[in-house]
Amino acid sequence: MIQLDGVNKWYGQYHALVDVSEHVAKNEVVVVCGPSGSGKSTLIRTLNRLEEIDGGRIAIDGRDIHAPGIDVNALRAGIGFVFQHFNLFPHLSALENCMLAPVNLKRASKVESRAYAMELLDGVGLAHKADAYPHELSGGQQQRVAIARALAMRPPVMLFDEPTSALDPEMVGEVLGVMRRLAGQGMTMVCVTHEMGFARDVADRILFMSEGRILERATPEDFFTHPTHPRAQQFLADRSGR
Amino acid sequence: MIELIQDYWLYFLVGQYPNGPLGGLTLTILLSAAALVLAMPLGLLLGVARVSPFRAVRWPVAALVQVVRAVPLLLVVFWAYFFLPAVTGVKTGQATTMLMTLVLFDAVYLAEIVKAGIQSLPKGQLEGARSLGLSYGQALRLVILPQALRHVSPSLVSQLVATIKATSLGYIIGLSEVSFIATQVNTLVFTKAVEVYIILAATYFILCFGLSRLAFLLERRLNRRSASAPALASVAKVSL
Repeated sequence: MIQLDGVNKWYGQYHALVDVSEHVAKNEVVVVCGPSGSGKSTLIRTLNRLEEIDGGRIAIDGRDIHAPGIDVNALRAGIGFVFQHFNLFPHLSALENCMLAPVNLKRASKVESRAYAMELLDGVGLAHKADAYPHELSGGQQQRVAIARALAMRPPVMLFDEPTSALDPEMVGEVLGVMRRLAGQGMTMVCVTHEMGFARDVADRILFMSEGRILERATPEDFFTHPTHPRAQQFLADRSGR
Repeated sequence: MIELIQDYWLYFLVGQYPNGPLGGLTLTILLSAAALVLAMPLGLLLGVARVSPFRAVRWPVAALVQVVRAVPLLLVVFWAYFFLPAVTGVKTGQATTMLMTLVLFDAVYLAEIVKAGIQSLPKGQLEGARSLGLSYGQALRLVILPQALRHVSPSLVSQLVATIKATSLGYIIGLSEVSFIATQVNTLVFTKAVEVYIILAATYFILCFGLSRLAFLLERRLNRRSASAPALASVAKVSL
């Protein structure tokens, strides 16, 4: 479903992504982990062109997303993206946040969009907060609304860029719970996260990145019990020490 | 002072109308209102152009803004009145000249305010909107501008009030707005300059202070209705 071939990206002199090739299959849940600055966020942001690439090819459903003439808005409408800092629209209620894109991109009538948005908010346990504004919600609630907002476009793929990193520890669980349920429903997901428990339980595969390269690809079982690359071993040792 | 008002109130209010062109306070108010109505959309457009991702859009507008902002309004009035007809060969009336000047001057200042408002928002707002598949224009209209305009609404109101006061410069090209009329009255009466100009000052004060109070009350009501700004969002939609 998502195919990367020799993707390269530079920030000036800094080589952020080095010859990254990878395939994500339909219904697969892939967790990307690695130390900060390893290129995880950059990688996931290239998948819906929030970042451009300098070399290589990224195809989604066989279509090269960096090809000239591609409709970037149509591309993004079909890819849900969840940010570290939620990025909810503060001037709109939770419900309006979830209706904005479907209504304005004419995906559904206002009535249908409202009904589906309510269904999604109910799905993330926030139907009772539909009329609340983002600043009236806790971080965990905001992130759950953000997930509902992304789902409102009915995307076949969801990308998560450190969705729990900005949350207080006691709110991490509620967001991961929503993500677990999505994975259980067969959603294709790519998640950049430091939540190793989530990775262990939910991921089909784990990609370990360091210095812009994917150094290890493994099932959670293999990754956590006998990581092969020294950097991955170091990464896991540092985590378990905490 | 009562006598002064009794004798000249009509002249003060409408100038020589209906025996001559409409003038006085009515002209001042009409001119201000027209300038506001025209400058607001133009200012929005220029402000959005100021933060455009395209250099070809950004740079010419930046140049225009910098030039106009570095010149006194009085000079822009002269320029529009003497220079423009000489170059284009089209002679415009005083009211039209003043209106064009005010719209240009106002739009440029409004553009800077709009730009500041847009830049005050975190980058994640645009990214959030774009990640849903909204176009740049939709993201601006639906997400960025409603918030940006809300943030800078006090500055917008000050600029609108400044416009009212700026109409008094029409005096210099013989536009019979309320300051010009007051001067005329002063010439006719001759001995009551203090009274005439107190009345003039009070008139401007009531107009400007009234408008800013009105804006303040309006804003407070919006704030009460919701913590943020859905009501302003619809304003932004209309004016774009």
